[in-house]
Amino acid sequence: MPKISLKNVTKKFEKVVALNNLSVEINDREFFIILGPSGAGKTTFLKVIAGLENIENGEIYFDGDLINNIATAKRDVALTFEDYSLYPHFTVFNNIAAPLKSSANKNKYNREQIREKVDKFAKMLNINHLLDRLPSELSGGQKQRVALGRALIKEPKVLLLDEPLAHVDAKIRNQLRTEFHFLREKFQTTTIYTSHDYKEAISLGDRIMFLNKGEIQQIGIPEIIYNFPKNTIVALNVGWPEINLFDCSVNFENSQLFCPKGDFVFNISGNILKLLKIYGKSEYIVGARPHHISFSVKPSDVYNLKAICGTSEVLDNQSVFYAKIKNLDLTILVNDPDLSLIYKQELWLSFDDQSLIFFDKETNENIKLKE
Amino acid sequence: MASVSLKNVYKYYESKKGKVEAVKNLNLDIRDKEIMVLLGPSGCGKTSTLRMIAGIEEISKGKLYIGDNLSNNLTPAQRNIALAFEDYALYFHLTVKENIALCLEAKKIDPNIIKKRIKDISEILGIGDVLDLKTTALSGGQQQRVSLARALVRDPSIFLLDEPISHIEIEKRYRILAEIKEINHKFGSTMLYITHNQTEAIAVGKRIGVMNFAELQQVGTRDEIFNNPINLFVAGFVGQPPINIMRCKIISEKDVIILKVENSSLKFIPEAKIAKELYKLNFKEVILGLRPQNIYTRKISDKQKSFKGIIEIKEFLGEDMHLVLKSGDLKFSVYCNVDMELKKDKELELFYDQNRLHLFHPKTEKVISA
Amino acid sequence: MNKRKKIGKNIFVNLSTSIVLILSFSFLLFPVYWILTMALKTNPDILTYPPKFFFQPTIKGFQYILGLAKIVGATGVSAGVESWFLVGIKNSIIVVVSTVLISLAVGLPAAYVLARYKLKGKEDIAFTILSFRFAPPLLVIIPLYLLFSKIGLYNTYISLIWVYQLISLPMIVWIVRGYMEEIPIEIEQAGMVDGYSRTWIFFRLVLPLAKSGIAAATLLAFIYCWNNFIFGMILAAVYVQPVTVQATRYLTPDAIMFREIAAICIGAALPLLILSIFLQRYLISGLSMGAIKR
Repeated sequence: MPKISLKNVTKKFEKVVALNNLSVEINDREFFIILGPSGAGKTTFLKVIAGLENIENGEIYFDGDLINNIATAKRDVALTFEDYSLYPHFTVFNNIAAPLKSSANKNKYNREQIREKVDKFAKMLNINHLLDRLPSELSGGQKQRVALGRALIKEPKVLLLDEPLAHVDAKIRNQLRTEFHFLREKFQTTTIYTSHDYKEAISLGDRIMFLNKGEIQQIGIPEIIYNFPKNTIVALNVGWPEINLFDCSVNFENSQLFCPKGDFVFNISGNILKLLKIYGKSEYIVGARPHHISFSVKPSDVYNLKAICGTSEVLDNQSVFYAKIKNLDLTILVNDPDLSLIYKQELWLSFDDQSLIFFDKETNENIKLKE
Repeated sequence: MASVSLKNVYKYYESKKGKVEAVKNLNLDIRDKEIMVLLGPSGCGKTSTLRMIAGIEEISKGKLYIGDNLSNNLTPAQRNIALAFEDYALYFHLTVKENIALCLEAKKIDPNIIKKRIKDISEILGIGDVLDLKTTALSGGQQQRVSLARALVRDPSIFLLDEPISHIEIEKRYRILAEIKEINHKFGSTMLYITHNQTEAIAVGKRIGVMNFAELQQVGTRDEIFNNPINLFVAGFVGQPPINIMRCKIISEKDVIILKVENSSLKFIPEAKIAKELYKLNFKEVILGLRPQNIYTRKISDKQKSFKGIIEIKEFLGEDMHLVLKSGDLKFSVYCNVDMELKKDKELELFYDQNRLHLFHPKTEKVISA
Repeated sequence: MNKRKKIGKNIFVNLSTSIVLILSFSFLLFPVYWILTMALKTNPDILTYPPKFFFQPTIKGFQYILGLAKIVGATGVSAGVESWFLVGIKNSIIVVVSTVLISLAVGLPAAYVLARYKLKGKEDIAFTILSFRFAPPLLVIIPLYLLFSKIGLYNTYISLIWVYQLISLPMIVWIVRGYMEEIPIEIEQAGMVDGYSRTWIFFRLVLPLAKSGIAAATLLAFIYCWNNFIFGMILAAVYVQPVTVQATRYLTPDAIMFREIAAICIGAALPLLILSIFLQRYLISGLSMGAIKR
């Protein structure tokens, strides 16, 4: 089960640079997730590793062996496509069995063995009752399992999954995501999984690589990606509702942060203040996650930032509401789904200063990661 | 704007297999100025209900009142309803402004009033800058807004929305829901909103009517449906992650009624008044439901009872966490705050409030209450 | 009360739709009907005015073109007649089937290359192939005649099969290319990932998925080649000419045998009809392949 290395890989489509000088190491048997918005280059990354696309520059190694010029069929990888790409005119059985009958694997398996293997994987994926159907007769979730079956059956060295849950109904998506935890253990291969949904990424991944417009923004374990996003792009895409970002300047004498857009100040202390003093600059982009802002309907020492309540939404287990401090729009997440706030009601907000994220105004980078 | 009332309404279809009941004995009151959501899986009867209120389907039996008027035999135009479709149904060859103005012009309303109404509505829906574009030049989200504007500008007595956001890009969905709520707020429009997505239902409606197999199962606020589901179907359909369902045997230990979960060593203790009810009914088995949101990893009050499980899956989701735990053959979900100390294979003590246990009749699946 | 109105409305709509359809079909199919009746009438019946709709049918025309009739001369000597119809059908089948098979063998891979590969000047090549259809046959027929005579191909099947490629090849390449472009490339990539060769992918994935396009193109190519008149008339002589040209056998110095010409028209159209019915299945099944969604 190989360790995969990419060194300075660049891939262009005509003039558009899909992957820009990427270097990354993926460990043996790691469940590695590529997270990024659409158009980031996630599918291209997988196709380059599979050998379905050529690269203009760079090298790709499996366990130290250069594989740039090895044909797809010989790389022993399996890929599930975003739209499943099942063979429409083959039954489910034949779709799953297909890799075992190919010229690369000819004569390795006889009919009995093929039958056994297909049954084993179909049972594992709960689709053994669908073996005689055609893809056009299946639901999205079922097609996805068939695609997985087809990929897993040849027990490949590398498993590549391209947005497997993208086109599945919301309710089923949560269930399948949880199920993937069980499936993972059965894979026993190096797996690269792409998604645009950060929840999938941080729930399933051993490590996550955030890709945007063909460039690596950050690579790290889920807790780091979520709690210490390297820059504003990562911060905005990881977390829902979107993190609140606003410009601030630090007044070191009063230990206060001033936000010009909202025309307010609040106190900072402790480790955060120390960190800012060490970093030295006075202008920052501040990130405040919606669930790190709290509110009260009455003012107090702690809740001293006056805001006007906008609309609110009830979610499955929480509520989201929008509030405005002068010209600054904020989104706030509360753990109570039965919140009832009145439109245009006055509220008093408070920021948890220790959980604020500071980004250098020039480089957009998280100052905590500069240490 | 008006209220809508359905009394003992039925809808039958003729099919090759005989008479099909699409809606069965529906009694529903939609209050003036409220957003009522009809929620249910496909085929449950919600679309037929909407179409009967609109007047594009015949009411087989029963009475429909719009305001105080018996409206069974009125045409859609006479009922003054507005319909926003799943696929917008805009007129391709006209601009946005023309689409919106069309029905008002047909009613021969003063052009100045038409102008003003279009201006007001396009401001609320954020389509002021696309008024002169052809509808084919707009994105899905914008087209839906135009569809809403067109329906709204007629000042209807009731606004019917049939899965309006299912074809809109995911990022824009909540925005449009917020706008729909704003319309309701600003104009006081009575609305009936149909969907199969419970997250959407909770986000848009104050009261939700859950339907299944042609029957209205329960009507209530999110809180009522969540915490007091009337049967197993409603309990299972609303709530993400879905409610944990366990079949239990009723045993008594030292004069206390205990629910022992099949295939597991777990035991749950119901509230005293429910226990009394179980005793009276003399049941041997019962179906138990406990929501993942009502299972806690830390003791919050002294009254809470506890049970143990081993963590099989830990899902870190950023703002919260989802755990799947195992006890014997039983697997159940817990939804809790982020706690990075929790790891796979750790044994955990979990806490619950007795009044959050939902018990259902083992055969009828109706809730058992005191 | 509303129900009754609705039923009434429905009946009216259905009736008027039916009437419109019947009228349109009658208008379109009338020439076919007329020729069929012509083939069954006696010559006087054909030529009378006002035209006769009711007449005594005869199958003498069909017998004649099939060589089953006898002519009796003034001296009482009877002789059989040649079945120009059968001669023509044999030639048409040989030429058109060969043409279409060769066009498929050459055109399908060409369509695939034009659909998938990146080549410099690809569109120019594609357009050149299409441009063969633009040239009016009358423009090229004389040079072709001279050329073929010189190389000894006058009055051979080969010359017709070769020339007919101008008709069928562009059709197959262009229509099938369009269908192949509609096949998502990911399906072929899935085949590559599964370990299959390009050849296998072409025969077992691409061709089956382009089935309806291939059927449509084949049918059209067949029809256009079958119906061609000019190439057969100029580049071949009697025993090589296809059935379309054989109709001219019945333009005799004595009389124009309208009935026989009509009969041979009907006879010539029959194989096309049978082929269409046979290929129809593939046309329709191809269209309902919902598994490919784009």
